[in-house]
Amino acid sequence: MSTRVELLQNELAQLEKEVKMERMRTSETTSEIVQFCQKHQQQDRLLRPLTVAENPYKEKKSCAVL
Amino acid sequence: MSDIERLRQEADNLKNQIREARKQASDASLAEVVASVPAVQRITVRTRRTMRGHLAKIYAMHWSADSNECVTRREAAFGILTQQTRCMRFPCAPHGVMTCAYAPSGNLVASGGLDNVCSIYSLKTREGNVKVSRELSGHTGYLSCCRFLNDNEIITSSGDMTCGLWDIEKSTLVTQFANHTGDVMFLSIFPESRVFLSGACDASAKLWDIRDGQCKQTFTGHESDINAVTFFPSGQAFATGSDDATCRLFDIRADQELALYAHDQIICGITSVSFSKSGRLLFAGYDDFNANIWDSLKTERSVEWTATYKKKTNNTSHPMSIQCPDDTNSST
Repeated sequence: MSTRVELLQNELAQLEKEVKMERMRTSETTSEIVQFCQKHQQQDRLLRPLTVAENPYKEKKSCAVL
Repeated sequence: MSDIERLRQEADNLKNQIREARKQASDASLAEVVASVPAVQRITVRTRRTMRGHLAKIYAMHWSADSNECVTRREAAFGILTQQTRCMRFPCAPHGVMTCAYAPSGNLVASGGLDNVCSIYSLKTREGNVKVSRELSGHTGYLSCCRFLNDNEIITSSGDMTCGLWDIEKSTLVTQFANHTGDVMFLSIFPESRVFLSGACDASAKLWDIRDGQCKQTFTGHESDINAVTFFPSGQAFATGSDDATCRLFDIRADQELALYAHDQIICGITSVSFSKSGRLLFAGYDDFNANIWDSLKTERSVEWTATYKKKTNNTSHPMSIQCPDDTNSST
């Protein structure tokens, strides 16, 4: 079990690492997120519903053999 | 000043510096950037298939890479592997099972829970049945989640506040990821990535380097336990679901929260989250048996999806796990 001092020292060591991070600007990163959504919109079938022809789960009609 | 007070002051100082750095990087909000993006059209959700076989609460499920099969875990005793046309039921350890995973190859399945062990099952045995292949022991707390990197490597998360990378063949722990101060509840991996994400009861999500075991980034903001995390499909962001009744979107490279998905009427915790293929839709499963589909960019609800399965089954089933493996399917 770590002591309170050890826990705080660990927390401090981690914060010292994290404070050094080079952060990108949100204007750039959010634009890229939006672009990704728009670029893959066509493949997202939950956004663009399947046509009856494409649907693998459509109910199969019985066929009559004459 | 005592040691503890000095350390606390230094820590607070660094936290303030990080807060400032994040503010500096925040030169545009998501709301501003998506102002001109059209809203999502109304989504209709229809149950495609109800997979029966479990008699009690289903705690976890995971889709295979080709979206044709999924494995589900019940509280005790057995897992069910469901393929498009058939179902394979197999026994597993009679302890409270909390998680399951499908290897990308489709050769293996893993599960674990209150026994603190991650059991690996081989699906492609000569006899044609499912058999325990390895048991990965080492965690000193329950196994909350596991995900295969490949047939020989799996990452686990545990109630002992750590995550682990295991060599399955040797049944050994290769790397331990220790930095959370609460039970780790969920993890998310991204294909070909050097990093993975964890969410924990200390209300933080952490980004880890798989190979060196280091915690690279810590994301705070949630006010209670994080129960689920999932990568955005580009790998550059992720969503979380928490007991604080909110889901949040975090940006990895800007190292901060981008969006909050919440509503006054939503007061219960989120147990699972998943993105649709384009990332535009965020599915979230809630403690009150409901699921919501959020427009991830506009932070609006596209569909409030009440559990129809509640009427169909005899036992209440709980949306503990939501997965969107491909465009057409999501399951709860």
